[in-house]
Amino acid sequence: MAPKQILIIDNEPYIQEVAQISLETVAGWAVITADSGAAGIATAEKMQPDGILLDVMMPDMDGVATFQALQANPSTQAIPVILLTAKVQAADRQRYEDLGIIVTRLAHKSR
Amino acid sequence: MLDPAEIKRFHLDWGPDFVETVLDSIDSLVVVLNADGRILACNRACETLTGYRLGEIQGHSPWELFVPPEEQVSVKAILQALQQGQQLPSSENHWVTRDGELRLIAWSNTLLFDDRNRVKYIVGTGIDVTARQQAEAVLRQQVAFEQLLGATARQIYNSLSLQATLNTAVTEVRQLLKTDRALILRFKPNWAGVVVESLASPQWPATLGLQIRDPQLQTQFLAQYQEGQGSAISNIAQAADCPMSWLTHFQAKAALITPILQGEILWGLLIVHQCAEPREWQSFEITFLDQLSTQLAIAIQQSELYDQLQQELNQRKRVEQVLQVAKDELEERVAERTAELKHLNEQLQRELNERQQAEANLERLSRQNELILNSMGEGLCRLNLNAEIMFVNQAATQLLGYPVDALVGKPISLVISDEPDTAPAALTPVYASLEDGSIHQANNMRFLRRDGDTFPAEYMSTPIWENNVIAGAVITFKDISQRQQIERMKDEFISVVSHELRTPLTSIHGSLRMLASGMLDKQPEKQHRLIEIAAKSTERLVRLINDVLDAERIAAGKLKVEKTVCDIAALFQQAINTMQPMADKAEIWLLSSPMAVQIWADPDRILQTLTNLLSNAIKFSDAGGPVWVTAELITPDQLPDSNALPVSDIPYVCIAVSDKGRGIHPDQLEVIFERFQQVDSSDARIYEGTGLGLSICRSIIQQHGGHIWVESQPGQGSTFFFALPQYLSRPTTPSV
Repeated sequence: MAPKQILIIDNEPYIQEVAQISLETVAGWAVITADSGAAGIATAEKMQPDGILLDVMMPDMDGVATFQALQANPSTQAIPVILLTAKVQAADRQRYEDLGIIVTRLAHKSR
Repeated sequence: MLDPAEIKRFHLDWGPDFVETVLDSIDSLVVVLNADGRILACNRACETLTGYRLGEIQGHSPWELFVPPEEQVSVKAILQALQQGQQLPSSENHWVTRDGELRLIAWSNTLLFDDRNRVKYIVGTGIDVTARQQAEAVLRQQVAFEQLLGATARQIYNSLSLQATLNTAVTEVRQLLKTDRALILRFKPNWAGVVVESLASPQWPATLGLQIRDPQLQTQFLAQYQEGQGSAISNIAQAADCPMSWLTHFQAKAALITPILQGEILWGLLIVHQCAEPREWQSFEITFLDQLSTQLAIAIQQSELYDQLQQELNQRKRVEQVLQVAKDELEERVAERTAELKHLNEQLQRELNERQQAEANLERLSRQNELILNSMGEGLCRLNLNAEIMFVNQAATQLLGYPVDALVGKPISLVISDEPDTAPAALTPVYASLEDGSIHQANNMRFLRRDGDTFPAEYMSTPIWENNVIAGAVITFKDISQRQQIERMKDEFISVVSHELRTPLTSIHGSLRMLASGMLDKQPEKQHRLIEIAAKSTERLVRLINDVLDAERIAAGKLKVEKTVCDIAALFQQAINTMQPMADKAEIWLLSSPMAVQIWADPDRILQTLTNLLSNAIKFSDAGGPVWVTAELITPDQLPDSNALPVSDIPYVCIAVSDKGRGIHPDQLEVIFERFQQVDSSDARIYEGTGLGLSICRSIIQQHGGHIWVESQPGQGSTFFFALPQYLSRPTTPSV
């Protein structure tokens, strides 16, 4: 079976790398990366990954906007998205939930 | 012409009888004496007067018979002289008649001589001048009376007091007329009389002060008296009707009564009495009394007038005295009052001064207060119990955009936002403080400006207590939009910083966890990569923390700058070395044209500045673009803000970092040097950046006495300049 393809959309190169290495090593997923929301949408359209890890804090198009765009785009709608952020404040939480995002704490998963 | 016959007849008739007849027809006495002085013949007049017939006196000497004893000596002497033949002038002497009556005879003697010139006969012719003498006496008395009357009148005039006048009158009258009593009776309105003055010889009863009521007087004599007609009663006892019958009680035997008339009115009576015997009143006496009573009347009137005048004068004097007393009293009172008033006035003046002082103080205080109120940065409103604005300070008017008169009297709800959902809550603190008298605060309220804008404000409502009663409230408020903005910026900064912190930490943590898991034991190249990522991320973390700390130090004014001699070229090189990797990654060409010039500066800080500018230039440039770093010497006047710099004749080293990036909008050229400012907050997150960089650079450059600025064309690129004065050693004048 072909490994799952995960698209990481994040503007921080090191985070991209670490995430990529981690996912490849731990989960054996094939990781593709995009540096921005726009690039990410294009890549998602083209590559149709199995999942998208989406950084929220990005310049230009931030994670939420990218997410909305993905949801609006019929070719990417179905792809599950996990938003990653270090920044969750009450106002943001509400915003996420309004968009149908399930917010969970990313606890230190020791695995 | 007489008939000769008649003359002849006369000569015939002329004989001794004829002579006798003639002698007997004359009134005068004729007496012929012989040489011895004895009576030879006398005429009828002589016989009549003496009462003797010739036969009885013939042969006697006249002085024996007729001459009173006291005159005999002188008469004898005259006779003897006559006998001697001396012609003597006329002389007078008395003869006593047979009846004993004394007659005064004025003799004139003629001597007849014999042929031997011896006195033969003495013919004496005498005229009875007794009557004449009496008349003379009366006349003399009258004259005396007249004179005395005049004197009396004058005296009466001179004595102005009525009583003195009356007294004088009765005194003089009694003296003149030699009466036993003289009195003045004054009538009262009912015709009773009172004796107002009386003088009598001591043996006769006094009548002074006697009050008399005599009906007979009234009925019988009053009219007469009122006419001015008096009564003269020689003998009261015999008088048929006596007006003063009562006078008999006082032993008056004769009375002379004269009315005293004041014009038409019978004032009273002037009465003289003879008490010793009846007396025949002489007409001149009556006249005298009349005249005296007239004088008396005048004098009475005069003295009454005088008395009246005197009374009036006295009254006036009394009045004057009273007035004087009143006047004195008044003056005294006025003086008192004046003193009082003066005192009061002084007091008032003092009070006035005090009050003026107090007012001046109050005004000064009030002005000060006004100044204070209007110098406050916060807005201040005073509300009454109805939450209506009574007073606003200047800041309030400015913040709210209303002039004072547009606010006074309006309810406070005018300016506190009337958004339906916020209004009740917005005003609650105001009403609460008006009600419970304690301080209430409200944060995050919106105030409504006149132009419809709102601004965020916080306010405090403090009640005004006056005499233990709530009298209103004072609202102080301030526009917190700037603060909110700053807070927003701070929040954002914090979120940015925390993100910036977490990002490398995520990398570090992730890397280390992977490494620790051992899953990469068989993939050393991945291990190396992770280690490198962790190391680089650590550096990034360190840089970030340093930046934040620097920014805080700068904000606290505690940025330390350690200056020494630096070489520009060397710094350039270092900076480029540091930024090269980043530039490579971004596909930017780094180009530099350094200058071998030295400055007095903190090399680390200058380096920091350079790398910061380079970093920005790289970030904002498109891939493939160039970034230049240049240095040149300039003169102070070439600086954009030459008047703001402290030194003026030292050359400046001007370093420029240029890029061909997107450029900066003219409005932003100054703003970007402030803290937390990102040109575009999204841009800085492409790469690391907290927005502190440029503000840190500015602080560093300023601490070197330099200046930093930017020139830019949107879409074409920007050039950041910083110029440092070229001190070659520690400058003598302080640069910072």
